[in-house]
Amino acid sequence: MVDDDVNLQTVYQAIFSTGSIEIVAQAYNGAEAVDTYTKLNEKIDVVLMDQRMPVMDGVTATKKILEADKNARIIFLSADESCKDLALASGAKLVLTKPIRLEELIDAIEKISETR
Amino acid sequence: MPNILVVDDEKDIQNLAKVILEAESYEVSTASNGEEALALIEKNHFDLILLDVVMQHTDGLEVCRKIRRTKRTKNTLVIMFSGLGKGVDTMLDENEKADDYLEKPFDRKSLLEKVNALLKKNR
Amino acid sequence: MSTNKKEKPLKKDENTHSESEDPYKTLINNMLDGVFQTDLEGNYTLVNKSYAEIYGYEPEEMYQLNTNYTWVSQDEKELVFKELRKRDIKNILKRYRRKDGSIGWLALSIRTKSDLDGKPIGFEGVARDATERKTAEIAQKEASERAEFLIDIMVHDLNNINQGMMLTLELVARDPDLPLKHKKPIELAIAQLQRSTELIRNAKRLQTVIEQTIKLDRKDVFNEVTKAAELTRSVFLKKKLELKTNFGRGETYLVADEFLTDLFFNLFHNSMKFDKNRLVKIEVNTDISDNNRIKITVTDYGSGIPDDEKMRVLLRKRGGKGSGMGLTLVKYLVERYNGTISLQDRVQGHFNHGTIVVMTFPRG
Repeated sequence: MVDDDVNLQTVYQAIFSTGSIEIVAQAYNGAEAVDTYTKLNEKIDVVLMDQRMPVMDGVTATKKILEADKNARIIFLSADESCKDLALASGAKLVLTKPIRLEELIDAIEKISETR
Repeated sequence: MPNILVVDDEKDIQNLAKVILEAESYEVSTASNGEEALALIEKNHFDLILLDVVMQHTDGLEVCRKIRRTKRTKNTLVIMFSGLGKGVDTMLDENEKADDYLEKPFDRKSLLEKVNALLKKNR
Repeated sequence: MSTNKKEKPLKKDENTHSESEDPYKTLINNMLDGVFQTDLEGNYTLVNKSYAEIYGYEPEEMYQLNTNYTWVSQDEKELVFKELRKRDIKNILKRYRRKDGSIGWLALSIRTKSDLDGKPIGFEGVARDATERKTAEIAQKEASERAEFLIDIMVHDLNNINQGMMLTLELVARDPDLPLKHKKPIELAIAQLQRSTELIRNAKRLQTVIEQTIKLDRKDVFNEVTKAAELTRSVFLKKKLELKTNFGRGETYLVADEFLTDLFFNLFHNSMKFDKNRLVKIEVNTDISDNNRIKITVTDYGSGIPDDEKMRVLLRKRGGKGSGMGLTLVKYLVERYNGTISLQDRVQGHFNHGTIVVMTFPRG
């Protein structure tokens, strides 16, 4: 789960504390995201990537993760639609606009993690 | 992605333009004076050059003239920015002119308007 | 024109003599634009009243002055004088220093003055104060940058906050052990969050649209309406949108821009929102109006808009149902495309059987 908003990350923890989806790791900026992904590659099915973050933004982090692992499955979450094309072009499998309904979020994660 | 070169002797202006343009997905290189700019232009292809006028040694007018006189680069898009305003246009001959002028201080909106307009036209 | 190298300014009591002596002297001295001459070193050799006024000096005072003091940026000065050797310079904006030390802007045209053999002997030109215009421009740019910056922060952070609240509430709503009496309040809270999201999105969208330079071109209305319908369906996942048009692809065109989709999207969004049925019918029809304009109507069968609200909803005012700014954006776009917009009841006299939005546009 990649997002610089600490409060939102706490919510994500609560959301996925039960059920079939488990948060393996959380990162608070793009650089951390790339780092964490490389370390835990095997254990990660899907990455949820926010766009606006300090140090390294979502698009750059997406590119870097895909450089390391071309099969990485990344769902892009952005607050506005303007970076949608850019996100898809850099290799994100799906782009969702915040705020997302819980159902939509769970559906998206399940759908993307099934594509191998 | 279109490739833009920002030439200005003030670091603040360089950074400001870089941040604004990169947010629009442009690739941005920077140079702090005329010589650096010309060296970069020789080695790379740029779709558009943002050129400050008042710089030490080799000023923006000189850079623009060189760009227009070199076959490989003579059709490169050039936007000149200057505290001197659009009047700098009168300092250039017909075949030396820039494609547009931006008055300093500039803001995000006017910079993007001009850059986007020129790059869209050329696609 | 006088070829004297050193002209003295006219003193007040000399005015009446000079009219007959030298009409040019009077002209120059009474001109509203500033006129000046300097020698090659930059010492002032001629200034008229207006020029001296710009700087806050008496004309006599300027003859002790050198332009090194009045030019603020030596770099700019170097460049200008370098270019001056080759040609005249027209209308540049330069900063200048006044007698009291304050800085202003000048619109300056300057040329090299040569003697009869073509040898440069000084500089001369015309200047006008541009300080007011320039400072107003700068203030306006700064204000709009500030506003944009704030909106950007708000959109980003508010969206995150809304996201957190929405997910949390939905999580609670999913709990099978949740007592029935709590279900309704939670649904109401989620609905408020959706409203908040809409408002933020529309405010940001309106700002984006307003900032874009208006560049209109031919748009196929059928394509735009179809796109808008798809967008609407993706927002209202639990409702079904049945869209009917009396025209097809390639039949109706408008002179508009990429935001035409927003226009229809916002209208459809409103109709969907205020229709209690699960199946929502919307009709889009085109016609030629009485005064040879293209008339486009968007009809819904929803809960409608009472008369007093019809006016308010199109004006940029708050309050009332559905003040999510969607219709503000629609009105703005209609005006952008040189159109008109009005609201009617679908069934005359009964507003609660649906609304017809009537728009007319110039024929492209």
